[in-house]
Amino acid sequence: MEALVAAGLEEHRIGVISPYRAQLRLLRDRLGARPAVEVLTVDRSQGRQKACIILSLVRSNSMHNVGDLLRDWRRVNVAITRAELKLVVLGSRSTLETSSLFSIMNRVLAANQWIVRLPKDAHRHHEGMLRTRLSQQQQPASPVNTRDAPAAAIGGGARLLFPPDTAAPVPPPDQQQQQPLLDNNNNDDDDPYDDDISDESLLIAIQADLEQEIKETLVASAPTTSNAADALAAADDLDLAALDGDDGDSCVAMDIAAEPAQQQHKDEAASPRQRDNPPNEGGEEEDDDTSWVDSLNLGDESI
Amino acid sequence: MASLSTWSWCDNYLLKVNSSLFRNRTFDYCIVDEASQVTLPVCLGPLACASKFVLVGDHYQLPPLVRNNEAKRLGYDVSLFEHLSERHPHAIVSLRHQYRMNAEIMSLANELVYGGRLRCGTDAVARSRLVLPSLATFHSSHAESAPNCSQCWLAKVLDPNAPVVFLDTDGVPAEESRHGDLVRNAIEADLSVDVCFCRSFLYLRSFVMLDCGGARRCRP
Repeated sequence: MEALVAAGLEEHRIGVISPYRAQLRLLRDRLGARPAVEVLTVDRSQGRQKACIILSLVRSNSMHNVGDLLRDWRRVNVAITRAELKLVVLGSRSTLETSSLFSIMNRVLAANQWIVRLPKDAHRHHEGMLRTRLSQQQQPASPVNTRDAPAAAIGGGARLLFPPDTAAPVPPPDQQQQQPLLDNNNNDDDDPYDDDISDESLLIAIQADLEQEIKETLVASAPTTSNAADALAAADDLDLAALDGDDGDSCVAMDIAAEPAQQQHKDEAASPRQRDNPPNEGGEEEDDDTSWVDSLNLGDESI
Repeated sequence: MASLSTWSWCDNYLLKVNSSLFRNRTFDYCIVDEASQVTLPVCLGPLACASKFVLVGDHYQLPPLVRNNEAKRLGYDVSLFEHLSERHPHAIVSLRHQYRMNAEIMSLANELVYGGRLRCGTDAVARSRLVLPSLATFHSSHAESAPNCSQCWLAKVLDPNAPVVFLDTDGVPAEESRHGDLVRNAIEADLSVDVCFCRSFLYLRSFVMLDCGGARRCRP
């Protein structure tokens, strides 16, 4: 128990930052269960510090275009000076090298042997470990965990955790009563980025509260329903099967236009309470996505 | 000093500046932190309530956020801090010692931006490391659960003696994807999350100690 408290504390010491807000949305989706890990734009991180900072630079293209945001040396300075003890930078060396700023950085990094060239499909290497982590965690299986770990494990090519035609845990009645809460939560999640930072942190706090509530409900109901941990293990197996049956390229060939829909399905599938929703929300998603694009267009280049 | 009051820029600063706390009161000093990040008019308000002021900031970091292009063109994004530091260089005191980053992280900023002028405040700060005492547990469970992952890239991420790690995604590969003006990178997001989870994984087993020469220790 103390270790869990420590875990909670420590997550506060991790920050994930990126110059691109669209990237933050992806990161928040995947880190949804860990509200303590702070996800911020570089601009918002100014004045802040964390023991460990993970910096996602995003840009990686055949034109080697670094983009305006990363050409501003003040932004890069802010990004690299948020970490106290550990700075983990993710980026494409070939793309970044075309910027004079990053070629200096490259030189320093190389001189200190701080560059790790990731192997092919590195994002798939630790799927098994994530599952181990879940089972060893010995926490009650919660929608939180079923959502986050597969999201991380599956990679960009989202697949269904609970394919609609397979058995997934059926929520007991008392959980179903939680549905409005969860829906609110998810709706908030899908909202376009709010520019008010206090609203964001409020959302995170609300989300944490809701997740706690849901977790408690699951603990209370676990003995009477199917074992929640078993359900989770079953979910993992399904997930594995899906991966095995796949030709394996959807992650690389992910189509950005298709992704919001996949994301929606993943969320939907991962959250048993939502499986009853008819999967006909395409139009809504598109609207949602468009408004998100609008709000981001305002922000991306100007902040 | 009769009283000490602090206000945060993040909150509704204009409201606070106009609040009764400020009205009809004069302070000996007004100290404005992150002064390079606030626009001139916002900065001026509280200064009027004090007989002396100190602006603390760093114009090697980002200027005030101004979204209106017209306002930007007219110089609204130049802070009072920047105006004054250009016109009154003799009034500037450079604070070279920082107490945040260890020496390696600082060296990166020194090379890129500060021309080697930054110093670590203490030896303890300079030598501080993210030490993960359950590293062995990680490696054994890693060997079990990901047997195909030899020469694991996460090992370097977790290595306390590598305070800076650049994970080059060229070999993965991890192409960005575009949607209008929006750019994102799903594979890079996955990799970032892997790093997070891998840390959390360790935290669940034992407390993480921040070894800063005993100065700072993380309490359970």
